[in-house]
Amino acid sequence: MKYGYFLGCVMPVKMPWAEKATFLVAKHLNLPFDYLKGTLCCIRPGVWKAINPDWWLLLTSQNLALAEKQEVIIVDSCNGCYISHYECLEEIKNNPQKLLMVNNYLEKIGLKIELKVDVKHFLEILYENLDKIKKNIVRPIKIKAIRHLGCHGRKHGEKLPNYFDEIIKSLGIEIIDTPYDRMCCGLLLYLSDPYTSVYKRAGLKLEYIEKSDADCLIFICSGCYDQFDRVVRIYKDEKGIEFKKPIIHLSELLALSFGYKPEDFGMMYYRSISPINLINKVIS
Amino acid sequence: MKEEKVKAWEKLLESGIKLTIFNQNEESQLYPLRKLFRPSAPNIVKPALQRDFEIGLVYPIDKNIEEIREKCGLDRIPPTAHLIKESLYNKIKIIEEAGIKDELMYDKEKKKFYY
Repeated sequence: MKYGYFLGCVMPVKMPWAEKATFLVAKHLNLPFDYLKGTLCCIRPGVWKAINPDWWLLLTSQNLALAEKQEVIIVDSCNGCYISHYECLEEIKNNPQKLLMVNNYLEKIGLKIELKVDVKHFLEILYENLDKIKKNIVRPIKIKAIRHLGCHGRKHGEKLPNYFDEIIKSLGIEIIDTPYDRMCCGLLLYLSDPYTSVYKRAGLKLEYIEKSDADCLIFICSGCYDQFDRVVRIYKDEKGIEFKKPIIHLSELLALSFGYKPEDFGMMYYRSISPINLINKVIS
Repeated sequence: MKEEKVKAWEKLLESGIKLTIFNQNEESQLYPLRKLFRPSAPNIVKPALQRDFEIGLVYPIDKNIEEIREKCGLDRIPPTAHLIKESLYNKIKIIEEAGIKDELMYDKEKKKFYY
């Protein structure tokens, strides 16, 4: 079965370099990979589940139904999108009443869920192809990095955290452990407690990275990037503090390790922290 | 660091308040016996909810982003509901059929929340 990549809200608008790099990597690995087309917001479980769990279920189901219609497995790299799709599917699988409720509305727009759909995290796809990744490395990434998986990536066990680490290490990157590795980026907290969200979550981690030997922060989750990017801008605009260590998507490092040039996926464009020092180190 | 206001958050909250037609604080001065209630949509999430209702996604695409996408080697508009409007119209239909807009007191003509 083909993979239908779910873009979500953040990636196409705030991190197009990661979108392009992800497709370069998928093509390079010869994966049956294309966009899941016509997608909507995942829909953000942190907001919608809090307002009304049935509404979250209903609106998330439209994406699942689209995947079923396009006969693809949904692939998410944003942990928030993954959790939303994964948990929605689990709920309608295990609760026939909820499936009926969802289908009653979906039928009004010509869609239906027959539970043929599946949801996977992009890390799972990459890990299944780890040997192929290793064989395709032409430029080992000799850097030190701090990684941020994001707490939704840990919600269903240690599988995704282990995959994340294994893939990073396979590229030749030295991971630096920090006291903040399991800490939430603060994205949802931003709605209710902005000070803690900015200065005691993402900000704390960014401050630590600046003082460390790390060359960059590696992430996979678009929701976390949204928060880190916001916090970088808040520090700059409201405190006059500029961070220097860039925030890099795992796909970018994979693409570089496969021999792609930074300009092949627009690595320099539209970033709150320039990756130029990192690029120079990796390319040299 | 002393706990202080985050200006970007204050701006976001202000945008949410601007999306609200009736201000309960002002109304309570005019009608002191009227009971205050907690609206289903908090002010801080109203801008995101409004975009969700209008474009089906949290962030819009503008010409600047289209150009950057092109420079990155991508189509100017992603194949999400940004491009495939049928998905958006279907979502709006579900939102209306399920009474979500009514419950959140969203006026689709004025594109604002009553409370």
